[in-house]
Amino acid sequence: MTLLKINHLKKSFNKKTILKDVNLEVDQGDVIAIIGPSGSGKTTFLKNINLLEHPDSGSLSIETKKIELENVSTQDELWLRRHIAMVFQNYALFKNKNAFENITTGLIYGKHLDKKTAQKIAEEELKQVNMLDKKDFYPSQLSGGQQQRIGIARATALKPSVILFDEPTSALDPELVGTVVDDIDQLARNGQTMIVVTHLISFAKRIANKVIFFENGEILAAGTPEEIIDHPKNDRIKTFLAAVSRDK
Amino acid sequence: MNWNFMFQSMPKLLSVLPVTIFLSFIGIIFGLILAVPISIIREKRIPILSQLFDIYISLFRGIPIIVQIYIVYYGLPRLLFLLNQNHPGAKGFTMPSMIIGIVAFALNSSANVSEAIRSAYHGVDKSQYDAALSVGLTKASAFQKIIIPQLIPNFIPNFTNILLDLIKDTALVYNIGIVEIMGQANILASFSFNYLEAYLDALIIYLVVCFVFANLLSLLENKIKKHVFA
Amino acid sequence: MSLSEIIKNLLSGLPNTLFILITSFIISSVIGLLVMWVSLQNDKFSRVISKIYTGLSRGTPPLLVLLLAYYEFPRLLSFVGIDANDWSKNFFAIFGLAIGFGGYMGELFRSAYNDIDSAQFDAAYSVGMNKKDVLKVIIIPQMFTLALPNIQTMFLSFLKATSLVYVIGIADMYRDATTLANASQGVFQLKIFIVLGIIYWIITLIFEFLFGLYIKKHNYS
Repeated sequence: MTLLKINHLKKSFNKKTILKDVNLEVDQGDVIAIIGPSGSGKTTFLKNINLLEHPDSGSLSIETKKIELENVSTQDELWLRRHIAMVFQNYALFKNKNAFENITTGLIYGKHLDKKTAQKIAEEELKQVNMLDKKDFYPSQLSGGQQQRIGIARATALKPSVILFDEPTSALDPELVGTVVDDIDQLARNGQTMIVVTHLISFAKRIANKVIFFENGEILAAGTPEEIIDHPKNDRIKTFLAAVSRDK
Repeated sequence: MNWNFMFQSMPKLLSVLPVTIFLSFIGIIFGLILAVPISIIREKRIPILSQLFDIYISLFRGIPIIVQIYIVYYGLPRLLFLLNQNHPGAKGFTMPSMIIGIVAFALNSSANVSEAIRSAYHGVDKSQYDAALSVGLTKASAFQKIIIPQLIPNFIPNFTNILLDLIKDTALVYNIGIVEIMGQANILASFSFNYLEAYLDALIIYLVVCFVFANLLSLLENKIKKHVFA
Repeated sequence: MSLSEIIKNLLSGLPNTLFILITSFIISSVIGLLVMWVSLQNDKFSRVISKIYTGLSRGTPPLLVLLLAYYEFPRLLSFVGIDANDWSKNFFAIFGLAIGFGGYMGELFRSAYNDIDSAQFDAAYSVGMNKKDVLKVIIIPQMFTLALPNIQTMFLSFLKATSLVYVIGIADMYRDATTLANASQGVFQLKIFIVLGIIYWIITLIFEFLFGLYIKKHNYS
């Protein structure tokens, strides 16, 4: 069942085209990994989906609603963000709120839940990521891995249809990557629909059921992990994967 | 409003602008000369001296400049008198107000500049010093070639603020008898009570002077940055 | 005059100074927030206006601000038909200082705002908050904490500016107090100003201590 459909997403900035004409179909339960060289527009693409940046043109259908992206109304924007959540590369936890409040803030001000319900949900989420004992800690008192797990909890608490991950592990020390990867894997097993921008090819292979290769603002190829990573047909993809594995 | 008066007073006010500039510049230069050893002593935490200077800085930054000016005005002649009581002519000596102004501003700015040096110094990445030593530079060379060149661009914005504040504070010295812009403005205005016009003229001069020096120092900062960091 | 008499005399003027200090600082902060808001607007006109006001504010000697406020503000008001001759001088000092320093406060808030990581905005929007809530719940609290050290410095600058008129008044009062010979003249005045200096120094230390406590309590980094 198609959950999210993105049509002809285009974005330019200062006369430079950043996103050429991006089309994507996401089914319920899909875990889509987006790989590609830096500067290709992967992060911009994600930010254009939950409208942190505004597309020049295109349309987006999610569940039963279709939204023209050219001049989105504030109402639609807020509605969209209740259905599509994001996890950031630098965690971006609210610095002036502790772990617990980082989760309740979105529930209270974004989803307009009452305080008690929000607190209950926050407790559940913290339990899920085994961080209940850190609920009063401020971001500055937590490690990168801990902060990212709270970041994930903050997103899942909203019970969104889709979660967007922007290079969730690239700011982490290597030994902390494992826990976060496991958390994301668990979400996938639970059926959460996700779009993950990552440069960890092994991660992409492990959790994704679809892989997209992104370059120069457009999707160069899309397919299963075996098709794109194991048996790439495109030369650009071959070069890219070779360079990435050399770095290891 | 008397535009004619404003127009005619302007050149008369500008004629004392050199006094303002002279006072602030000489004041801050002596302040800078004093500030360097003070900063070094405080950074090295030399016992007794650094604590004394900590108090020195706290005093000069905590006491309003007008009070400092009056303390020097009444205190400096007294101090010199006490030190030179047996000198013939000591009793009749009156100290020129200009010297008092310079001393007051030198002491005051030495405290502020010392703090500016300190914050600029701490703004330089600590590992720069370690790296310099690790490739074989002596402590002195490390400072001279690596630390100080990076310190200076950090220092200039704070120095600019201190200088501009000093220029504005010269407006207070008419109280001790120096005829600079404010003093001249008061003199001109007293004839027919055109205070507003005279003050506005003075305001324009201060604004222009501050604007000019702020931009000059900013250009200097950029030039030095280019030179140091390419 | 004995030392204790001097101290009593000088302290009698301080409550007024502190009153002017606190009221003008609060009003100036409000003006500063307004200036910051204007400077962040997207149209060129707003940004130019805020830049001009800030430039005026930072280029004007505090003494001139006070003199203009005391002597000419009433005149200005009379042009608009308001008779301000009976209004307390304090009122003009307060507004003079507030407007005169408004540019500094605006700069202070603007740079604190710019120091906030832009990802904080993204994260707040991404959980579905609207602009008003993003500012109220996430951004402004952080801006305030970042600005605290500079707020402390500005507050102390206000203290020194507020003292100007009071001190000049004292100096005028005691200028002709003695008729002794040249170099020994002025011992009395020296005593007065040293005592006054120490009083202000102590007040500054007290405020630095109070601010320090507050900053420590509210610092989450």
